[in-house]
Amino acid sequence: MKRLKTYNFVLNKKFFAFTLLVVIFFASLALCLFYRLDASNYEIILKFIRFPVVIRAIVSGATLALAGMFLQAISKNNLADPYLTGLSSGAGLGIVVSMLFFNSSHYSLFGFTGAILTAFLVIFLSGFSKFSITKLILIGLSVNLFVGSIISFFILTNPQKAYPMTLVLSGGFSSPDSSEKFLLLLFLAGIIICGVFTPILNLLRLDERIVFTSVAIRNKYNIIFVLISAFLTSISVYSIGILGFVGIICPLLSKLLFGCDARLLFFGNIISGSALLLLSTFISQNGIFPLQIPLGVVVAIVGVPFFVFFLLKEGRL
Amino acid sequence: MFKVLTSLFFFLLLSCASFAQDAPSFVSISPASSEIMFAIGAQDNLKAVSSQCNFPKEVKDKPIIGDYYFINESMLIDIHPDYFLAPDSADFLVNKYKKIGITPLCFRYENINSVYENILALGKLTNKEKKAENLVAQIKSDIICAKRSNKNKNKKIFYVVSVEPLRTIGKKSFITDVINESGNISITNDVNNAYPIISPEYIMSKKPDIVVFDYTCFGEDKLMKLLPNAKKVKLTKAQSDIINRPAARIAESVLFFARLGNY
Amino acid sequence: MFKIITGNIKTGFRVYNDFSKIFYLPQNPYYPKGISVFDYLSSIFFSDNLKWFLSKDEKDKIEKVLSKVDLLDKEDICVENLSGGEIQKLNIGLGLLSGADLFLLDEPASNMDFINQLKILKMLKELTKKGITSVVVMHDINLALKYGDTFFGITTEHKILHQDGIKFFTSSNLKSIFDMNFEILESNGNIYVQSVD
Repeated sequence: MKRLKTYNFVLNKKFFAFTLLVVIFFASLALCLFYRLDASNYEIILKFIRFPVVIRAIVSGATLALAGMFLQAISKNNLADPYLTGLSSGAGLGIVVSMLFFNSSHYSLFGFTGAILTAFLVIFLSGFSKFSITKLILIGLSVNLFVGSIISFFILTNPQKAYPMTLVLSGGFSSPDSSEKFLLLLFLAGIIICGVFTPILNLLRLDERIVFTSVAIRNKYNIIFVLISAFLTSISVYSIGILGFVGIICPLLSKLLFGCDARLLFFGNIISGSALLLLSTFISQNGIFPLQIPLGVVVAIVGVPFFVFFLLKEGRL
Repeated sequence: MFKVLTSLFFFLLLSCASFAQDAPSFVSISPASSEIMFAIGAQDNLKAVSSQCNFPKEVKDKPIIGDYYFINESMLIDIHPDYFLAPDSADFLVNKYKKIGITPLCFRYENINSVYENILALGKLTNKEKKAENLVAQIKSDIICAKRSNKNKNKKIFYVVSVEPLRTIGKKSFITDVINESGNISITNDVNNAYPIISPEYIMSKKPDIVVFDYTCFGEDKLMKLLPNAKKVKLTKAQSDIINRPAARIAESVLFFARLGNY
Repeated sequence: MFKIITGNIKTGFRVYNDFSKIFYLPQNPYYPKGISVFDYLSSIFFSDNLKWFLSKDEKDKIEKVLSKVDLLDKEDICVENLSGGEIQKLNIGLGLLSGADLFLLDEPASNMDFINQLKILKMLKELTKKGITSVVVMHDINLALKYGDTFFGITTEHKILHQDGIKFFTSSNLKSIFDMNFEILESNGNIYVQSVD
């Protein structure tokens, strides 16, 4: 009897947290779509401006949160973030190259390509056979620094375009050029792959020194998860550019709220990531209308109090 | 011996200072200030310019001291100018030179009047007050002519500084004043900022007649995605750097917007 | 040696063994914060893709193992609220669930009180009757000789001594292992080891 009670209590708490997130998600979705809607040409506004923005927010929030969850789970480090594998600098280099050498404004496509290529380079360098997370982090860090200095070189040698370049690199895109259909297709593929592999995270939460079958299997899964998270992060780059912070805070927040069952965390991360980004999008667009606040700034302003509140309340990670 | 040397040194310093008062030397990393210096005939006082300064042609003959991001400091100490002309966004960069006796001049320009003030101030510093006053009078009359040439007034103009992010001009930008002087209206003239990032929906609700792109702006095709009804709108690109430069050619920029009104 | 067998350290040797599965438990293993006892044990079953839920069979298995290690009444309690002995028992339960028949345990009885040490070693001893061999690294000689069946010792010259039963414990053997003098006491048919200074 006593057992049943505690079980119910735990379930209730998680259920409450989940409902809260779902409510935030739908409330900000509705606000993003219908707040201050101009009655005269609402069709055009909805179709061309608001739906793409909402889709982007959901896609990038969910993918970043999931990528962060995978990396934090396999590295057993709460500070791991999705750009660990050199992705941010790779995306940045892609954007800079597109602006300088192709004089094109297709930042999303170039950023996506750059991100994916760098991620593969880092994973290839950290070795498929003798793979270890520490090696991956160190190589990711060095590649980030190396590519980052190339970016700075390009910026400083091209003062004419330096200002627009730093603006594009400093935060999410405000007018991405990626096509929504392709984006949704990528997102669906990413989510399905995640769904297939998520339960394995439950196995990985055991101490990796405990051995019961073979170490090789674990290494195999580690590399699969790094690949998945690189893919997910590239999707988010394709969607809204480089956006820090979501990938660290959302996995931690959902860990606080939902415990450490990967199956719950999967849904928790999708809903918390997209809810956070939807809310931030709404505030960034309507906070001081008609001016716009950069999305990255709003994400931090909205996310940090939330996170600190739950951290102080729960106190364990 | 030491006393003699020091007194000699001070004498030299003093003579330098008194010489400088006759013809103060300038270094400019602001293209607008360089342009004004040439327009008031004080180009000989200008010792070095930035790589962005491109008007008039003769400015290319001056040595280049750097750009907004880097200043060749050993060259600066060699020249040791009295004044350092910089855009007001770069004042953090040049304020440190106060310590070595170089006065930074970061002119602000929020409207056309402040451009006049800048011209007069530079004229005073270079002892070319007469020429500066003539220049201001000339600009004023040119602007009146330009305004007269605008036949159907009050076209709504949307000026795009950059597409990614969507940045435009606000109340505090001198370009807003230029558009006002030309007889047209900048649709973002009530936004309380110099160069705000603006919501595309706000632009849609204001229904601009003409979209003007800054000449540094690129990715114009992207704007179509942000402004779905922009097909009915005339798109033009400011061909050169006249418009975003608060300098002696400001009357030409007024004329540019006034001609847009006739379209 | 444990690390070589389990493959944590790669050597030039291929290790062949007759045991179908090996379970290795290091000292003070890490566990995620805020995980319940039941969830902790269930982790081991998520080794297949696309397996989102545990089957009834697997749940029963976990319950059975929990009752075997006396933790059935604490199944919803967080692992971090258990005592050191209980956590060690839980980890041994993990080994039982893994279906391994060779347990390699690195000082399973360290850092806990005497009663718990006895309980754990007793449990391991009982497991041997079910065909599970445990290899245990221990530093407490008296506990080892009470519960061990066969003993290995590594001397200071890196030679391996091996002897079945308590005949292993002679003064000369212990001298060569620990480089100290020991004396063997005998009372009521049990023997004890004591150091002599």
